[in-house]
Amino acid sequence: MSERSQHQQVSEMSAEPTSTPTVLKGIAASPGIAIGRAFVLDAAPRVNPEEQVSPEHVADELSRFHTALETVIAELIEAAKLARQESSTVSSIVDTYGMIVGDRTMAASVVKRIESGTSAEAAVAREFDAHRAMMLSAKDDLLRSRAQDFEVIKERLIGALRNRTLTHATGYDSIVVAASVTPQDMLFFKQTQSLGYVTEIGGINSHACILARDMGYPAVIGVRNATDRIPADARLIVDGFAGTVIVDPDEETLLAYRDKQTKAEEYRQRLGELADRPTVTSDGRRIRLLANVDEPDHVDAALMAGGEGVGLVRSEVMLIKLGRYPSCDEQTVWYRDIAERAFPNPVTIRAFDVGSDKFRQGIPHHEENPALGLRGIRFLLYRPDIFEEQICAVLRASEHRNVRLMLPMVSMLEELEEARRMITACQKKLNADGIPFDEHLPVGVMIETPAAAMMADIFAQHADFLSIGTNDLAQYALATDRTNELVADIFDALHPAVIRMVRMVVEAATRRGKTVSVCGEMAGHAAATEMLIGIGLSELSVSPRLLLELKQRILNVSFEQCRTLERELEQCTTTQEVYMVLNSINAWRGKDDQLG
Amino acid sequence: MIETTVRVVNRAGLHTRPAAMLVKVASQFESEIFLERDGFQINAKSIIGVMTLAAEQGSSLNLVVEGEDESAAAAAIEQLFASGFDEQ
Repeated sequence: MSERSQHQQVSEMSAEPTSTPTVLKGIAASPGIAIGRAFVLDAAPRVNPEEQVSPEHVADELSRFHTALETVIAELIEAAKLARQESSTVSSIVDTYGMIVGDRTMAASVVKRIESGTSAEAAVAREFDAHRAMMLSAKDDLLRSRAQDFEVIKERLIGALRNRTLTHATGYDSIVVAASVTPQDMLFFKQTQSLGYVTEIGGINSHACILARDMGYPAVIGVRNATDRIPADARLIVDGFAGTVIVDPDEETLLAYRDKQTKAEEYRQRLGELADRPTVTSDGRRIRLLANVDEPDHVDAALMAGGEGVGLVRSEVMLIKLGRYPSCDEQTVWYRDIAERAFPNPVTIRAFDVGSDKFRQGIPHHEENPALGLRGIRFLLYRPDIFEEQICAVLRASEHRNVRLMLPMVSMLEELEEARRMITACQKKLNADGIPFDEHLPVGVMIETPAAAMMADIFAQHADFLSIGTNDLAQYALATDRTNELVADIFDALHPAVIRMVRMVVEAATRRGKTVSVCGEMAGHAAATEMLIGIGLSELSVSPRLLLELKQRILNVSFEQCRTLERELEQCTTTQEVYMVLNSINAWRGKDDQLG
Repeated sequence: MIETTVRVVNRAGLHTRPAAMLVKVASQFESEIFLERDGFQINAKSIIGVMTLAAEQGSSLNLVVEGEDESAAAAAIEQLFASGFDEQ
């Protein structure tokens, strides 16, 4: 994998420290090195809602509550300012949080609870739990899902009461240490300009980690008991290449890591010179490198870094940012902006992949097993009102004929057929209104369930293109929750079973003359690039940050070598053997290809 | 005191954004403004109150306004509901 190989190369170049500061081992989740001070967020705050205080402490509790309220309000005002610079969509949700915290009726009710002898934490918890319970009884599922807003505010207030707010993290050199982080937290961290993060749980392919990689935010996850073992304000080094966290490093270690930081930066600059060169193997096979881009603002950078288009727009990112379903008009603006910036390069928009560990608004009730539940295309067909608005928006953005629509989590042919019927209906509607769009908008299927992989020949026949989502495909094929640290070591997209499925899908698509790409993290796995090319893929879509590194690898390898590698991989029976074969490829590479 | 009925016509119901709009409008007036639903009454100047009403599309609410500027306040709020909170 890119992070690991890069790290090995870096460590060969720099002197290893002689002393032994505390080194905590975790999983490298997002490459890069961060040097800063620990900002430790305790595990989810536990509050005893029955906690009482004696009458002489009531005044103290009241003043603690008012201070906490002011802290959170100040924090939200600051976040709202930053959010407005970042994007108007984030700022509306932050504004709402501000209104909730500033709600005088709520404050008066909490004060009353404290005056009757409840501790400030318990009063806040009971107040918000009561509102939350009320919201959860709403008839409408969209309204019901807003109960989470109360949970967010409750946690922030209780955090402030315990002096563990983000305001403390606004220092330019803080590193967040937490039990776990959500994609929403990531946006907050970015706003507070912290340098990186360390978590106790969370799989390498959780959405927070993917976002961290996209943002170039070093992260190490799966560090057991990190919030207990790392003291607040301790000096920390986060090595996102090696997956290690160094607590209280000595001067020598610090110097060594500063050196690593500089080398990694120089390497990135050298790669920059490759941006304009076409991507071909040394024996002339053309590979199309696309970028996974979720926001209009990131398209230009992705194209500048050598992307030949946008291979994946994760449209649900818009939902996460807005905290609700956007209207057709709002979506049209967003998609059209991406399509126009990328023009004439192609853009593949993936329909909302709601559910599982992502955005859950609109899911009618709690699911025991959300990864196997109402998600992706299943949700879209369950809520045709939402899906239709999105289809219409994608169609309206397709005017210049460089847009494709991709359906997530398909497991049955009927799902593709039903989606096609809805697309045809939307086209009729737009025609009637005289709105221009691409009559031949390509509709593709994301192959990420074993069912779709097994039926790839059928999907290749009925869809216009296929795209392999290796993270989910691996999760479902290996029956492993990638965010569950207890089994995270089983989850590996390079398991031979997953590679066999990728092979099947590529063969099926090639036979039908349909384009097929890989847009999962496997494509960004630098060591897997040669394998994917050997299997026959000629389209890869990765995070913009990985484009140049991949291009560098492709320029330095021949298709023939990739074929040889693939033949060796066909014989592998374990993940470990796959890694051994893939590592052997480094022997072919010249010194000038190495980092440092 | 003015008492009248308002209907939620916008599709998403009184979710976060319309709730915020309603609170902002209500807070511009001096009058006490309440919304009632199924015997449950909330202060229209409280976003938490408005959100917990959980008023979905099609639901009817009782609007009670009392104060110096009650007629202007009631008119502004009725207009907001009728316009569907600019959603459509």
